Amino acid sequence: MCAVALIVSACVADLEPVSLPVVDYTSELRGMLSFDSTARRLLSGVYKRNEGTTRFGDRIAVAYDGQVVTMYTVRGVAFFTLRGGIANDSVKLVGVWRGVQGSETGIARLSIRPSEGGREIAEGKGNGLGLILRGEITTSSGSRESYVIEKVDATNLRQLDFEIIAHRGGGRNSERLGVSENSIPMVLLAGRLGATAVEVDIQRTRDGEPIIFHDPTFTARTVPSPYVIGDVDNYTLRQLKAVARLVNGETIPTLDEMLDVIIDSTELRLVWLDVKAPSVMDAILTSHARAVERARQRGRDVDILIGIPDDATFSAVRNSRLFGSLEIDPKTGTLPILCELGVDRVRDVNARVWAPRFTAGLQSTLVAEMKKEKRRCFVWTVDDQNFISDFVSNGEFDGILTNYPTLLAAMFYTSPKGR
Amino acid sequence: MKQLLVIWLVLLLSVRVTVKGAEGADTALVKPATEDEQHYIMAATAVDWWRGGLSAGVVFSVLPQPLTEYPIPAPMIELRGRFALPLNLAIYGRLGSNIATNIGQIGAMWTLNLPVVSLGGGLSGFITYGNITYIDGFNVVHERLTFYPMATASLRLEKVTLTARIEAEVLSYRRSRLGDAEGDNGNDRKNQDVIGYTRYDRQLTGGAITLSIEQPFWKNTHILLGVTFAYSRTPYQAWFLYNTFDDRLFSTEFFAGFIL
Amino acid sequence: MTQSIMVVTTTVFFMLIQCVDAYCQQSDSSKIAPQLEPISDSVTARYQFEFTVVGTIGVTRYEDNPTRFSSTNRFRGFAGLLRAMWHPDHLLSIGVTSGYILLSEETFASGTAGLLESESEVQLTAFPILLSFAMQPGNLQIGAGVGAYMLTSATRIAGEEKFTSSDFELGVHAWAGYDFDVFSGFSVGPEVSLHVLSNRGIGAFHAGVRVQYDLLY
Repeated sequence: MCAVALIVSACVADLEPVSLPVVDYTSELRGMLSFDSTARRLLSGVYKRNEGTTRFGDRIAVAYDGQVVTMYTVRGVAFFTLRGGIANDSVKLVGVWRGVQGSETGIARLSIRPSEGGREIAEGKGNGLGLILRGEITTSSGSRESYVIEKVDATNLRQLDFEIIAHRGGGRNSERLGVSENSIPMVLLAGRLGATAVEVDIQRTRDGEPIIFHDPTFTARTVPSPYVIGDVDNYTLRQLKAVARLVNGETIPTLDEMLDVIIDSTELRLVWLDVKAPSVMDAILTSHARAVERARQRGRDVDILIGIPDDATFSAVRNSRLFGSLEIDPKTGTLPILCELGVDRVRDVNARVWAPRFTAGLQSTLVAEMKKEKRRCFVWTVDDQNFISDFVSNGEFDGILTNYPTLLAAMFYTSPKGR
Repeated sequence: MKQLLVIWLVLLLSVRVTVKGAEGADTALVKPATEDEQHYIMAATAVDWWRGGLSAGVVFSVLPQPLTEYPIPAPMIELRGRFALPLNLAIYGRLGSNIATNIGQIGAMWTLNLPVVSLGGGLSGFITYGNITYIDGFNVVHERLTFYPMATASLRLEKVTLTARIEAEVLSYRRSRLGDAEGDNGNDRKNQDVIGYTRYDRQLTGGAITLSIEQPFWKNTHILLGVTFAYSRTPYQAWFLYNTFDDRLFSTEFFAGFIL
Repeated sequence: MTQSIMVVTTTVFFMLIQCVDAYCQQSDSSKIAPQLEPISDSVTARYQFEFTVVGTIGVTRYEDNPTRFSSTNRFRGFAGLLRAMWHPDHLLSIGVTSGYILLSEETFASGTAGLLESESEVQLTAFPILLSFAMQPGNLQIGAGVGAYMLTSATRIAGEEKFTSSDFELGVHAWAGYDFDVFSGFSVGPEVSLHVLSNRGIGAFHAGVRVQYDLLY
């Protein structure tokens, strides 16, 4: 019996992967015109539920990422990724929804009639207030539920000066988003998850290359191959590229690869580089300088911040021969550094962002002090709905790091602050 | 009402038969508790009035990995006890601590001896108090009250008693505070930097199956060994893993103790 | 799902063992081990302290193909284990198990999957350090161990120098063996065993020979 107990103690129960339903967008949207930026702006805003299913609550935030229209709900912690088009003054949206708390998922088919805002969108007029999205959703159990929502607030959510920062590029592997944490596909997905910014982790290879990876060792959680075990910095970059695949099959990206993709292929406006390998700080700062230049050349306004989580990294940044080459922001007079340590250290390195741990509470006085010095304040890593609510409602932070950017987006955009 | 009356009559009859058995009349219907069984804690075996046992031991859990990401062991020292009352009733309880998580459980159960097996049912309240304010940067306090209705069955072999217990987990009360362990962030916020929540939301959050064995191990010393398979949305040892994740998670808890 | 089945199967398996063991105690102990004196009045034991050497061959099964170049998830391997057990008064004996296990090795020819420039090799071995429990109804011994397996991978990629990397994983081991007494204190017999490292999705089933020595015979 004792043996049974011990055997079971060593057992691990994995979460079942979540399979999103397949939608044939080509046939669903045949003959429809794509949305332009005006249509996407008119669709964007806060909606209230008029009729139908209550599983998503009474308030819904609608935003967009590229061509994809997104919806976020507090209740059910759901997000929708919808593609759509316009035909005959009607708007059609079709896509999938997913409840991130668990594994609920389904298809959503919504439309806007000409008299309920469709004509306004087709003509690109007005602010979209009062437009009505109606249709149905399917659920994991196969049932169909009607859904009717009405736009009640026309704030352009993407313009709000608040950062929804997605942890590990968008979320952890346990969120089962179909792409791996800290991977290129994850940061490409982050915008659809509601993120305006991402945090990615930097480890190093044996040959000194900064790579995007969270843990110091390889485990089945991140890299399932049984041959890839032990310390990350045991492996050269070439070896990793040959044998290491993340849980959803991606390769481990280098820092340069990650920054290039964020700059070239996303609309993210801030990157938090969480340095877990201070020994390659020079290489990190070199990549940083290269990325800043690349963003400038492409006209991308993206703030790339060097994260300082501990004293070792603080010293590494301070003592790097490239520290002096970090560019001071002319508006704030700060360096592109995010410091998780005390406010004295923040001032010492003239960091642009102070980022304390959420368990320290709201810290209103210190936040106010930092803001007076033109520094921004983020808090990490808040995943509990109750605490996100507290930080959104009562805190004065400029951004929150979370594994649930969809939830934070829904809570922030539907809160009084989000309007 | 009639059904309740019938159930009570059956139960009273069983008690009578069982008590008679326990007093030594080895009838065909019952098998009285042996001297070894008088000490057992998890077993459903009805024992003599005011007899029972107390075990001191350890609990070893591995927190649910989808939340922790690494196999984080959560060992705990604990006391488990059971004492028989008249009419085959017994009170049972548990105290445990690993400093971060502190638990107290007390409940009552009714038991019935049959020839090879014993059956029992009961209800317990389980209080969790979590505090990791001593870890720099984790200024967090948590309290929780959970109820566990349970049914239990024991297989009484010659030298061993095997027990299976099935429990439902009903979470009734939660309270969490961040930022200032001394402050109070219930309905009366005293410190503006302290945040937290209080929830009275009775909900079925999961269940557990416990398998245990009680037997003599070394001379006349008895041991208690067991494992609990929990399937819960709110594993009690994972209270500090604040999460919006809401799927039920599988976790195991191994316990071992010497019966004093 | 596989893990759940394993848990349930193992549970049932060990409960059966308990029943068999209890049954054996109730039966005439002289029929079980006629040549040995009981070490207590409550149970008959074949030994008090024993050492066992086990040599096995077997099959390792990974949850998925271990690399993108691999064409299978099943591999041949072998193991050599040492076990030391102490048997106190009653049902259980406890001890430790250690040894060496080759879980798998693969060689990829140049151009495999169109990705490797020259021949490459990978190998995975394990060094278990396990707390073990066993029961002995008659000449049968059934046991299980739990603890850490130090996994070591040795890799040589496309002409580069071979390198190794190691890590510990939780794992479990279950075995069943039968002992034929050979001469004073020594016995020999077959043993089948299973190693499961569920965290890594590794299972290995082995069969071989055990040689046992009773220290206090």
